[in-house]
Amino acid sequence: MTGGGALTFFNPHEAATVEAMAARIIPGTPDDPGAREAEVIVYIDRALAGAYRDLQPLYRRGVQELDAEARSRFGRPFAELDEPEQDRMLGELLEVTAPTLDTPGVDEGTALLPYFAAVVHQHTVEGMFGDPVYGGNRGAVGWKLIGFPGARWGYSAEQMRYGFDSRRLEVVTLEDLRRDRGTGRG
Amino acid sequence: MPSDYDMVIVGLGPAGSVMAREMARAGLRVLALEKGPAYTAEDFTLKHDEIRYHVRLQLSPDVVQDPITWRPRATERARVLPWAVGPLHLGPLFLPPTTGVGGGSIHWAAWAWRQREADFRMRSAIVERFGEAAVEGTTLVDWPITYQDLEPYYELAEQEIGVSGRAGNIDGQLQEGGNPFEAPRKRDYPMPPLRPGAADELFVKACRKLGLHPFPAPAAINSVEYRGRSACTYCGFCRDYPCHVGAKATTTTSLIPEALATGNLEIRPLSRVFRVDRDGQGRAVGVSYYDLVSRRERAVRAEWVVLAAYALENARLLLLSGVDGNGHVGRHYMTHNYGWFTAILPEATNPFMGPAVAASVVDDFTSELVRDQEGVVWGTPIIGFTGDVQPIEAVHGMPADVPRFGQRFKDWLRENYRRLYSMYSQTPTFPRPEFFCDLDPEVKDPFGQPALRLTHDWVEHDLKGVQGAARIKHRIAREMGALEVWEAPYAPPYHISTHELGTHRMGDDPRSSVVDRFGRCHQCPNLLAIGGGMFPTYGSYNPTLTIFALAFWAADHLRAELKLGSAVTSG
Repeated sequence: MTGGGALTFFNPHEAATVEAMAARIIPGTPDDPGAREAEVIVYIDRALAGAYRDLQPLYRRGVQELDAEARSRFGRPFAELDEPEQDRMLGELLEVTAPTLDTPGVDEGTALLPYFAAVVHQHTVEGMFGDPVYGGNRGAVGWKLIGFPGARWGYSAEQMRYGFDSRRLEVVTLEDLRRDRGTGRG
Repeated sequence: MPSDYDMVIVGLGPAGSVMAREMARAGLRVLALEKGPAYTAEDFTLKHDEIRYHVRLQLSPDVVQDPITWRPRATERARVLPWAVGPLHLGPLFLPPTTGVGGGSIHWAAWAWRQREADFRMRSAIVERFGEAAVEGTTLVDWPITYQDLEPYYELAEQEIGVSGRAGNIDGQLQEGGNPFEAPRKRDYPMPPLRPGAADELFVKACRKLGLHPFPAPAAINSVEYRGRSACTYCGFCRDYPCHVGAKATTTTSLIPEALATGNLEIRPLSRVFRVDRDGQGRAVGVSYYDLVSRRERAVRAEWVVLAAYALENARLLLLSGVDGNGHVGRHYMTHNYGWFTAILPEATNPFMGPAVAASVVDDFTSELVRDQEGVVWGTPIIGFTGDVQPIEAVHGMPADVPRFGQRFKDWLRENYRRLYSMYSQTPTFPRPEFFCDLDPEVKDPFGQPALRLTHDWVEHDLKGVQGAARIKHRIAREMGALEVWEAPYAPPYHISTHELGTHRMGDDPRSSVVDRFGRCHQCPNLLAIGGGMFPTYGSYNPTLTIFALAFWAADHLRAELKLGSAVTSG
């Protein structure tokens, strides 16, 4: 489910639910990794235990309400729905754009689910395309998907030509950079 | 009571750094109080991190510690900037700039524009061409100074911080490949232009074909080694990010070390000023601040007090200190409406390589040169934007008709991220009496001080300005062979843009302005308020080089008055 990653905030059911959402936002297979294969759930779990701890209540209630909605429509919690059912629910929620710039109090149940979906979407994108040091983008699969070579020190004139294939470049992470450059030598 | 220092400076961004260096060099004992940390080059060696700097805004003030509230009109209750609250915020571009030593010069994209001559006489230029009706409902004025007044200080700023570019007009002689519309300059830029991003050659060709006059944007980034600072490596983590090699003009690598080398500057970081202290006659005697580590209140006395804490915080400090005798503090608020325009090109542009500013611009429609745009009286440059587009930001900028999830979302990014190309424009807002900053009657910062409240909304001209510019961008993009194009909404969801100005307008008349042409408060002559807040009106260029130049100008005047010599006349 969550690769080798232990959890620092989610309980297993919450992790399974959020991971199921992430896996529909950026679907994948072992040959063509998506959010699940990138271990986006590890990114979100670590973030909620630390930098985003103020969002813990949103995730707790969000998973509960998502499950309640899934049960009332399909008779099962979200993580147990089949993919078309999950897509239908997510698609409807992500279409609601009204609350995206506002923070509803997490007590206001009405707008919570679309807001929750938008936040999970944002965090999935962060976990897919942020540096692997934060727990997601495992093996830099998010960067390889889109041809982004990562935390490179710079680019040459040859590499900055129109039409240059960036997939020819080695992907560099912050860990690589610290090993190679973080010694004070510059 | 004797003063502890000759001068205390609040804030060490571009304006404060200039003042600190100039006065420390002139022999004054200067104390600089800075709300943020004292960054050094080592803080930024490993800065290639979109989560840290773009998503989690590690350089920006946050709305808990530094709340600012907003409402669209004075009849409504303001709330903390809704676009900056919560996990779906719009990013660092829509907050005030970086706090910390270096301030906005740390994260800036480094477009380093001189204003146009007409930008200094904006009201007259509009009235002459479009009539009085065109300025009705605004508080547009002409500047008390001209381009010619500031020209030597622009040159000084370009030389001191290091600007790369290609002159278009030296002493009236047009220069091949430069901007034919620029105001005449005495000297060329100290460095040649940066290497342009991949798609720039298409932009240049397209513009020439359309009869426009593209030129490389002036950039405060070293294209070659300059004064011991490295040349740009084109890493592509530049706008919103600190520089890892000292190539970008950040004052922590130039003005600040030079000021410290005099032995006359002391910097106290993590010191949050909350009031200018004044005596019974109303003269400034120093400032009070919180030490952010001990949370203790402290005070320091000085002969001169300089506020250089950004247009918004300067206004708040003036209001909190009762320096608002004529009611003009916080009035005349102005910002930019960015017109974002994105295209997919046939081949790889690699928009993550190189800085955004390493691109060409056309000035054919800028400011007073506006034409063929119904209802628009002040134009904007069309600015190529070739770099600095990291993956997460690219997702935020996707076109509205692409699904936000599923296989199509994933495939769109796979196919198109590497082929993105952007242009943008900057339509300035006009100062209007109904848009202003004041102190929020309800919301307070964690130290119990009222938050700054912004009352602002977009008006028709702001939207038409973007719309008119968009038509030109469409023509350029078509000529470039764009496969698909899309635009951000003309009425943006934000109301601050890191380009806030005008909150303590300069002028010769003490009844209608806050500071004089040298940044000194009419009401309190040993108190200066410098930076973007001084701008009486706003052109359509990024303001920072003018902020640098105005600070050199203000410092030079003060040095002359104190008989300490001039940086310009003495070389």
